[in-house]
Amino acid sequence: MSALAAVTSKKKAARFVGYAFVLPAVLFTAIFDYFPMLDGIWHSFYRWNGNNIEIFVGLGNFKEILSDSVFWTSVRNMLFFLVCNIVLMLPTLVASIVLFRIKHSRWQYAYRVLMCIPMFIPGIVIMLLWQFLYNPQYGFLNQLLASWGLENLQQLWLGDPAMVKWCLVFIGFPWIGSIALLIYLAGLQNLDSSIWDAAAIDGASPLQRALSIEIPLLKGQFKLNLISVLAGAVTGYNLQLVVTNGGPGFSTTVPGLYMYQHAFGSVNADYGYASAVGLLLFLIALLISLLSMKFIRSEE
Amino acid sequence: MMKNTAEFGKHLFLIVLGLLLLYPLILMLQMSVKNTEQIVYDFFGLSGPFHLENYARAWEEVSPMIWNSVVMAGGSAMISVFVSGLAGYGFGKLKFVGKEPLYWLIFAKMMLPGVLNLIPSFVLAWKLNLLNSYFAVILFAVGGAQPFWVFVMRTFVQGQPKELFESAKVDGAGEFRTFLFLAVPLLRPVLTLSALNVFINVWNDYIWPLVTIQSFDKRPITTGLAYLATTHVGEYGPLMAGYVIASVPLVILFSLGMRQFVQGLTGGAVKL
Amino acid sequence: MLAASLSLTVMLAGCSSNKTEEKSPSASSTQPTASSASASPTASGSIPSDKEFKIKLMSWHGGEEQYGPAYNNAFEAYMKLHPNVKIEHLYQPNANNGYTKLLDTQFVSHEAPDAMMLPNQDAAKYANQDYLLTLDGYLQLPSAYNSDQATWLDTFKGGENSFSSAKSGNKYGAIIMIPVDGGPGSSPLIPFYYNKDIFDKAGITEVPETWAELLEACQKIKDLGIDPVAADGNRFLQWMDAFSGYQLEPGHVANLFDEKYRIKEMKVDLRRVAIATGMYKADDPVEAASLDLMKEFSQYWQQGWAAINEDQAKQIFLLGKAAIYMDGNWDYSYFEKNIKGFTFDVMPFPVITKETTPFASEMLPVAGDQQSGGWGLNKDLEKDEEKLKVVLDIFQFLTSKENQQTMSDEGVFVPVVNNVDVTSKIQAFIATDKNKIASNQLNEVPLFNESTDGKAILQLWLTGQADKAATMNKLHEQAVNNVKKKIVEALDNEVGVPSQIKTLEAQLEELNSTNAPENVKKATEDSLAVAKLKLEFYQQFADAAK
Repeated sequence: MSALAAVTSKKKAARFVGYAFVLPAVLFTAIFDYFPMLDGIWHSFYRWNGNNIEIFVGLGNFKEILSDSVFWTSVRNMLFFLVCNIVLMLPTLVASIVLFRIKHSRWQYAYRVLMCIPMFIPGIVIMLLWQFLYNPQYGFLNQLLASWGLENLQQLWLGDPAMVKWCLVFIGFPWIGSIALLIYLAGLQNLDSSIWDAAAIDGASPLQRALSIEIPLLKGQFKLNLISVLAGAVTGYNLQLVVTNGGPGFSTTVPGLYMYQHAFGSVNADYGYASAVGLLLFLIALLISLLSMKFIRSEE
Repeated sequence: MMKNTAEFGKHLFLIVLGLLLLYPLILMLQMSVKNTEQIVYDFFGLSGPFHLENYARAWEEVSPMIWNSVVMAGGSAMISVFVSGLAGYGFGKLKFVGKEPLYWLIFAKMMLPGVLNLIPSFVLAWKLNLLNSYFAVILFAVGGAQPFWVFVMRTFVQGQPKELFESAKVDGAGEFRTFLFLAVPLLRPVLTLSALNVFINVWNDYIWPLVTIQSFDKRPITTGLAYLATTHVGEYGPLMAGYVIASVPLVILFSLGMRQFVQGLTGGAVKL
Repeated sequence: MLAASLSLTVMLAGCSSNKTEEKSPSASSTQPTASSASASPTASGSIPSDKEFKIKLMSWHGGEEQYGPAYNNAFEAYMKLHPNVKIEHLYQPNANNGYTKLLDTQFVSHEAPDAMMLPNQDAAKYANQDYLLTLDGYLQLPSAYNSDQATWLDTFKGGENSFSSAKSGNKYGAIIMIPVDGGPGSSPLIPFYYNKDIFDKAGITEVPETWAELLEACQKIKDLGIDPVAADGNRFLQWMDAFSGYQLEPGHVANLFDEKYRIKEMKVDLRRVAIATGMYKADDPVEAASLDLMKEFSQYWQQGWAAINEDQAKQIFLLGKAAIYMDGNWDYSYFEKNIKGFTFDVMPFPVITKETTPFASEMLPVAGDQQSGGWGLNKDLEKDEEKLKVVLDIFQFLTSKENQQTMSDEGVFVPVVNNVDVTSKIQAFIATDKNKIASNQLNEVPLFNESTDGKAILQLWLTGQADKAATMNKLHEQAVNNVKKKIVEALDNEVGVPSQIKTLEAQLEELNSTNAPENVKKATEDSLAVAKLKLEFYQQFADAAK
């Protein structure tokens, strides 16, 4: 075997090695992410109960969804949560900048540990806890107000259609996303320290510094976090499912929950209809993601 | 002086924030040792008698669920970290035809919301005969974790100095050995972070196990706790004790992997 | 004797799986003697005794409540009788539709238990998806544990007639569940548990018997500063709408159609066609009246009711923070055990009188006319004849007189079979002479029943966020969408009534060629006749319904 041939065969082998490395991830993504997605698109044109009824209905599902006022109510509710969730990205951003400015490494480490705590209490526990706290008759909040002699401030909380959305948003208090925080922090720490020295000499105020240096430099990280917040707000419904089941009335029904309720546990269960809702949501989320990417350009 | 005030302000801000993050834990703990009367009529009181038997009752019900959750979350984390680590190395360091399209295939899914997947995934799990088995959770969790973590891993692998890997080549180490003995130790913080993150996501997931795990003895803690809340109406003490118990494994895990967790992302610029 | 009953059960299992075994002609005459051995261990001969069986049964009755122990003790007794059978009683609560959600997924993956407790509506849903066995054939044969009647079916209170409503919901027009608790004789209306201490304090000396008196009593309680009713936005709402509607204008829907269609089995079909064709309108005055009734009552519900579920409402009643809570007999022991600070009693659902609304019939739905639910059997059992035999044997045991006596005392429910004494605690749950509305005449709030989000829509109306017209229009819009789909399905050759007729005809042919028992044939013929009537009915209105 000539040396040249050996090199070529080695190169060939190397090529195959590349595939071997990425194949598992490609397969997992294809089978468990893409296939269900395409299947969902396919079935959104059917009336389908998952079993014996599978009737092609064309755009029938979409027509019905778009003419259902409940769906539109759910979209409006979703927009409310969407705006809240975007605004509530701020505490995490602020916390990460403050945390970054703590130069004492021990303290910084300790605070970082503290900020990771929300990840370690199961979300469902927080939701069930708040469900109890909000109860108007025997819950904690109204008792607290009573013990302060503020009975007139007592609320129905989840029972008040005007208030229930805010109650759900407040369950996330104080709105610190641990992974997002770590991503911001890593971003700040990776920057060249000369930037900070220059800023210190400038004598800029802490707020000016944040606005002119840190925040612009975190655009790329912000975009990454924004995408997950957007997708979560447009398509998520865990909170609504567990705490209010969409009520009272439709005041906390979001499109994801609307989809869920049409697929599972309803006497009129229709997976095709639910898939069509899913497809619409998917398109909305995609559109919003693309728009937001267009508006925020990251530094290269 | 001015400087000290600013420094103090920062610490105060973070301490208050930290305390606010702790409140659910504190409420849970104090409710977990009281009976219903004490909770409803004396929410703040901690005068006793303390009902530690709440924990005994809760343990009986919660302990099997913890095991289920550990298996599902642990299995998902291990497989996922292996798969995404390999792919990150492959996409970041190796050359092969079609590398870019394949990478984009995975990366693009990160931008595509998963909501459409619930029902077809459920049907897929059913057709693959996975319903009611741990694999229904594990395989889909691994699949769902790939786009983000392959992206992160690739960023980190590309961030490593090239010479490091080149020197290994000279030694004649096989690609897989280079990965295992050179890349993995280098990437240990981010690999740990990824494993912890997948673990926690599976641990906290509610809807997917709700629809796929039907057997009572295979339920994870999320659906299990929700189930207990409806079967033990008004028994807030034992319920809270159950919540506390359910949080313990994560706290243990966190204290083990804490350093990696809080520093895992510092080695690379994860951004878009 | 034993041999006779053995071959019968084999035959039973064969019914549905093309297996043809010669039936001994004297079977029905020998049966009484065979089953008189019922409670004795020799009866174990009726199921295979040389093999271990593991049977999974699922209900929403937990271990600590009364039904749970009643069932568990009965299962224990059965396992003692048949040591080779192991019964596992699975428990899944109903809250947040958890029970049906679980079943939905279990059925799809063929992981469902061997038998599961189901209300009529859900049983019909699963039968229509072909997940449940049709049981007519098995019920037409004698029970191994009850010698009162020639057939198992006849041992049930009200016999075959008591199943007609259950039959009407599914496309086979067949019996698809075996009732074990809460049989005919129980009032179709759920009563109110009330706090006697609060009633005394409010000066309510007579328990309210009419709707007007109920409101009066509530006002007195409200004047004390106490919430009269512990309500919720889910179950309570569903019940209240149904129960206030039931008493109004009997025959309101049925009388829209020709007399021959006004049979119990077609109640749901009539309702659907009435809505789809516009004969039943969005502003139906009777359904509007039931909405008004509820609205008036809702001023006595505790604040924030729409956001809580029935379990949280129960907690409010239990803590003495509201005077009245609507609940079934299944929670009686729970209240006995858990109510500590006050005494409670139960009052029947009041009668709506003409002073409240001109549509009032001043009657309640007829007493115990119908079985309201029972245990469905998993269709997958067909694949395992011996196991099916065991499951059927378990339910024959559960519906024996002796077991029903024990179970109904312990579980505080109305027994499902004849000749069993009832406990005094159950009186408020049993129908009286006011229960007179025949079930084919019953007006079942059609728009609400056929809507998708009925409860949420009612929440908006009752909390003053939507007016009556908007409420009814929304209910109507959803109902029309749903019933039209149902009608298309009913007429579909693959999955609808035509296919059901084909199936029944094939069954009948097979029964004829295998010399099956007359009553089995008769039951199939009847189902076929109903199916044909249904098809005729749907075809007649198909165009109008489009």
